[in-house]
Amino acid sequence: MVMVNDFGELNIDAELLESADEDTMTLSNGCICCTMGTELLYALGDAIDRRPRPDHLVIEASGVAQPEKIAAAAHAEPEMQYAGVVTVADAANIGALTSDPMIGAQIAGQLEVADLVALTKTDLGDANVTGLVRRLTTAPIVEAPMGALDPMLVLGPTSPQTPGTGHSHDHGADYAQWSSKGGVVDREALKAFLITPPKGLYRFKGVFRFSDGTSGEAHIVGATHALRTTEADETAAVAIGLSAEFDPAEMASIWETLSA
Amino acid sequence: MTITVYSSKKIVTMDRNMPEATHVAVKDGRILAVGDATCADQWGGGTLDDQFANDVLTPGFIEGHAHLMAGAMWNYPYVGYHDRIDTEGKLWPGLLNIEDVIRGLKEAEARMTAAGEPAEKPLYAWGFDPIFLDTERLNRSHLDEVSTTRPVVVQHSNFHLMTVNSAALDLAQYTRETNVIGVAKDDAGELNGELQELAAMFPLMRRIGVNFRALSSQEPSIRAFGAIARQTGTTTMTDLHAELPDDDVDTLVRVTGSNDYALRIVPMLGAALLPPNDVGPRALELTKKTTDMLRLGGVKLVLDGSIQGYTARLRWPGHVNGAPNGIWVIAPEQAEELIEKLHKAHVQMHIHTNGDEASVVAIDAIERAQSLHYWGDHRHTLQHGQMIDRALFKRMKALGIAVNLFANHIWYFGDMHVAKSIGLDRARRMDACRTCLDEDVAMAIHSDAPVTPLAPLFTAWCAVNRITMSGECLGPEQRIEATEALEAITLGAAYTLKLDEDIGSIEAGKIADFAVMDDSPLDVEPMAIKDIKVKGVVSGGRVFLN
Ligand SMILES: [Zn+2]
Repeated sequence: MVMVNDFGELNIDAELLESADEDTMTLSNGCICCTMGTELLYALGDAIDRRPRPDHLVIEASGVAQPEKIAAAAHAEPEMQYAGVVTVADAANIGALTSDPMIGAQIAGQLEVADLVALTKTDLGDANVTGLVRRLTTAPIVEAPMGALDPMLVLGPTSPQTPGTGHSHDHGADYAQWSSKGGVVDREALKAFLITPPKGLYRFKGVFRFSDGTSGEAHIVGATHALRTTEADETAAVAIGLSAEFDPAEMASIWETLSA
Repeated sequence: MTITVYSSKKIVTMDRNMPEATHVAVKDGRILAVGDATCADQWGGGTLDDQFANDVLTPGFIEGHAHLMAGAMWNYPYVGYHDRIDTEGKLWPGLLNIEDVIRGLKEAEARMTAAGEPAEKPLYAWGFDPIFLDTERLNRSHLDEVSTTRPVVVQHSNFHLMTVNSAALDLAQYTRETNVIGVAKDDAGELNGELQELAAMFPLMRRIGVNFRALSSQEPSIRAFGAIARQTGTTTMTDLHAELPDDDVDTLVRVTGSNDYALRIVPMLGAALLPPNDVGPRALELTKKTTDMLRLGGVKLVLDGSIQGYTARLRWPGHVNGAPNGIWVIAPEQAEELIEKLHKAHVQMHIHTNGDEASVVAIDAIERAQSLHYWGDHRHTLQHGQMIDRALFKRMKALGIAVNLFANHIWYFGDMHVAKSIGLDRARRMDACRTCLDEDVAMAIHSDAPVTPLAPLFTAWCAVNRITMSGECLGPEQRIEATEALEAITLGAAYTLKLDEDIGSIEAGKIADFAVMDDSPLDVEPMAIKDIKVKGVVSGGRVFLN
């Protein structure tokens, strides 16, 4: 399901998404006089309460929105799993926008809080634009020519289907994937892994059988992670990262050290 | 129809042709004549009604910036520091320390139990004042004393914070392991019951089913809004950021149109609640549904945040404590585009601008729109406009822009602005009523209820005295006369709503809307204006006493 906040560029977004009418909600970024920025939260609540409940919720927060505020609600709500902030930066304009005396700080803030930055219109931008964005964020930066971005990066990897440990680069050049199924994991070692994941890992999710007999699930998105107790029959984990930065073979060897 | 002639100790008309009178004749809900006991004689005379013989009448007060949510709040118990009167006229005495608050909550809990409410039904209370926070902080163990079965949720008066008990934390599934910004913990890593900012409150609010958006559009809240209006002498009030789908409009038309309802409501369509291209057409469509008691067609835009929240957009030198500049709710460029569109379509705009940089953006955008599409009497109004200075007022005068200044803010937040946000010199000229009137800019003053309590006489008192909570007079040069303050809460506000042909003064031809009180705001000591006792209102010739 897609929620569109189209108070930015006048109404273009809703028109683009017209075909997806049923699953598109328009929402506001307005707040009633500074004290009650509740519209967005009500809309989130409405989305969660929909039956059948949507599998994924993509919130397009355009203009000068503060994505970290929306992200905070996803972190807080136990029935939602935070899947990251993707900031789409128009390479042709991002330099001017971030140095704008009025909105520059807010635009830079959108890059700063990103878990992933997608650069569009790179053919129109100057060559230094990646460097400029790099100075404003620690998030991985991918090029998204014509705005195309692999859904895997936005929605996250699906659970591994095949047993054993595997990795692949075959989904085009954007990302590399690692997955594993089976085995028992040491809880404390997993906690340490979540805090300092391997270089280039962008997303990680899994369910675990722990060596102490308990089970749980864990997620990493960008710089954030979550671990909680749940039922799990079998350990299964999957990780992805940008091809240039993430090495599935390295991940596999780190994984070995977590196994109990 | 019959003619009724009301006698009065004094009628303060706000009509400069006859500032004071003793009698007013009413026919068909309108003012037939004003003057002395003979005022209706030329019309064949009328029935004398002496019920106000010992009272003062003024034009019914007009609150140009409030929210319907102010009525919905009274669905829940109040636990604030200041005395408040609820919609049924019951006094809720201020709770002066944490023990009082706990006692008040225990009483509310006992009422729920006595009413047979299930033991796990949530108890939500509001208005808790952060004035306590410097000494002892309210925490979950205080609230566990109130109930171990009911989720107990205490909303602080600034809406940015709540304190809840253990049952509430369980309901939101917050535990020691929870690692969410805004879910506060004590030094030992245990949840202390404080939830900071909306995101952290959201899972709990969802689960306890407190939804002010839904509540605000329902009849009981509209009736509660009417009741708090009547108690304060208010006969016309805005709901200054409304979604206004057809169902809500139908409910509003029906409730405001019923004979036992005294308040005229002026809802403003929240521009951010619709796609930008739909705002103008929807506003124009809504004007067709206007009735006497429900005036539709205006639009509300929000440009920046609040000064006390450090989210207002300030010009240089910014925040005195070094906090970064605030946030734009709409980017200036998009605001400019929308303002042009709405101006071109002749849709009146009420534009929230707290910081002076936001006011400049709004004024620039209106100037641009006016140069592209001339509209002689647009009356676009800057709402709050708290940091507008003389130079900006001059530009506003030239462009025909009105302002609704946040006079109540001086009392509630003045000390804080001196100490933390903008410093003494700029705080002294906040909400600059004197400069505004000297520059001949059309002016109203407001409460922003429920942000501060609705009470137009209190709002007038703030503008006349500029006293802060610490007792200081903040910016004595910006004080205005009582008669000017009374105009701001009557004719001045009517002008900003484009209703001054119908309401705002007691003169022949206008709607018979009066506030009934025991003394005249123009006769009492300036410091006593807020203490004048309001007895009720006359709305369209119908008498509603408290
Ligand atoms: Zn407001």
